[in-house]
Amino acid sequence: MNKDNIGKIIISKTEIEERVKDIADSLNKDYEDKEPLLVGILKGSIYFLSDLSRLLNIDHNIDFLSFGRFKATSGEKEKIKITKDLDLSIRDRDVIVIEDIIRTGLTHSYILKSLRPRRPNSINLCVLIDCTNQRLVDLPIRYRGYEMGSQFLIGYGLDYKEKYRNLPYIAEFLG
Amino acid sequence: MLTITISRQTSSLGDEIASELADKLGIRLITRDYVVENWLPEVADEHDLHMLKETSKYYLRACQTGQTFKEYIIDRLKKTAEKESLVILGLGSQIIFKDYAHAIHIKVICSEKRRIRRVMNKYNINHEQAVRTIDLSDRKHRRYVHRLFNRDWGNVSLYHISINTDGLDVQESVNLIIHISEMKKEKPQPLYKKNEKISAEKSGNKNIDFVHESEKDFADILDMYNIQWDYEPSEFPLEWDAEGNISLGFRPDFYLPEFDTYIEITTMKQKYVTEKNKKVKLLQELYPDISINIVYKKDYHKLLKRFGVNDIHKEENVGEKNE
Repeated sequence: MNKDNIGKIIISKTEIEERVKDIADSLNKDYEDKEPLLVGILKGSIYFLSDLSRLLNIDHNIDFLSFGRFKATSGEKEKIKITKDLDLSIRDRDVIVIEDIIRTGLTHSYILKSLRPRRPNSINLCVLIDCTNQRLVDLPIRYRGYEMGSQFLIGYGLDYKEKYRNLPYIAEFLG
Repeated sequence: MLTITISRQTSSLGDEIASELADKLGIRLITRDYVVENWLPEVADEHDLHMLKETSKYYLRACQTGQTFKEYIIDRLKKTAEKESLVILGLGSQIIFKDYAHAIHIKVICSEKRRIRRVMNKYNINHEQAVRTIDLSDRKHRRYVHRLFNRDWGNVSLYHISINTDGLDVQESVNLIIHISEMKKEKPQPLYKKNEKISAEKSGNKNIDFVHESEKDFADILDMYNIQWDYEPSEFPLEWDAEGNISLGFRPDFYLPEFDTYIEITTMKQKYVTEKNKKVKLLQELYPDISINIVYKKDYHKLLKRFGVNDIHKEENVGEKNE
């Protein structure tokens, strides 16, 4: 790993642990007597989701979604499509979409639009880092770890060209 | 039973046509006011009624039956339409009855120039005030249909016919609709089959003359995410001279009806951005209910890079990550 690209630590490992615990406490309280389905958006959410899941004392399930861009034929416009769909049904389920970072909100509005027709009982967004000043469309984010600006971040799931996701902290990227 | 739905632009004579049509056919006219005065008090308290008049968002709230107000109205409309013939003005009825074989959907339109003149005469206001009144009212109708039904009321595939009252008066329009109703009685056919998806409302940005290339790129991103958009749909007056003429206005680049949000793309140099920032600040002061987001040059280029516009790769992960 090229450590020269790792800048100032913005959120330490301990701070992340404490904040994830706070969010888990909220979920334990809000979903008491329910069995929510945690939907992780690949790939950035995996560290956040696994830490969060282990702190939950309520019954819950885990599933994953992934999206990709496709251009069927030349001349046709690119479209976003699901590349890895959920294995579990969300009909009448309480769904919590878990994400590492939300910026413009365009991707996540698409995610919500894709999931709502499947008629879940409820659907909420839980995000570790919310870049509110880059937001273009409103999203119903119920749980958020941190509000951040527009800096380029790596670690704890956040990557640069698929690297640095495994850093235990969140740092500025200098590359 | 016959159901005639009428959607209309503000001051296009749609209200008058609906009223005259119901009178001539001897059937009931259902309007938003009728619903608020006669149906909603059964399931709404005073506060609810006030809020329902104020904001279309409130129609998505639960009422005393456990349904949302929207669901309650749809239910009442459908049950009433089973028992009697109706003329329904607005209320998203063209979507509610889109798959009814005995329903006819009419859109009433008119040139902006004539509508402005009608509003000026009706309310005794000046040109600029009339423009603003029409703009706000049309936006309110559009927002209602989008919020409640996620559809664009301007989508022509929702209507059997559009009547342009530049060339037809109320009586002629009413006679035309009655004639079509008679024909449809012989051969009832819905616009859409049950559960059939409504035809696409936007077919991309091919036919739009964007002022800047950056706007076209941004439209591509919105299309990629299947987000509906209108290009420069409204101008907001910001300053007026002593005679009431608009001396400063602002027309945001995009309107996203699903989010009721305007987007302004700014890729100009910083010294020009200051002027635009001033306009946006004024806009927010004068129209506090308007949601607007500005994308600045630096953020815009990051956005293009992140979404890979002009750099297309198949099956690339497109979560809003750092790359």
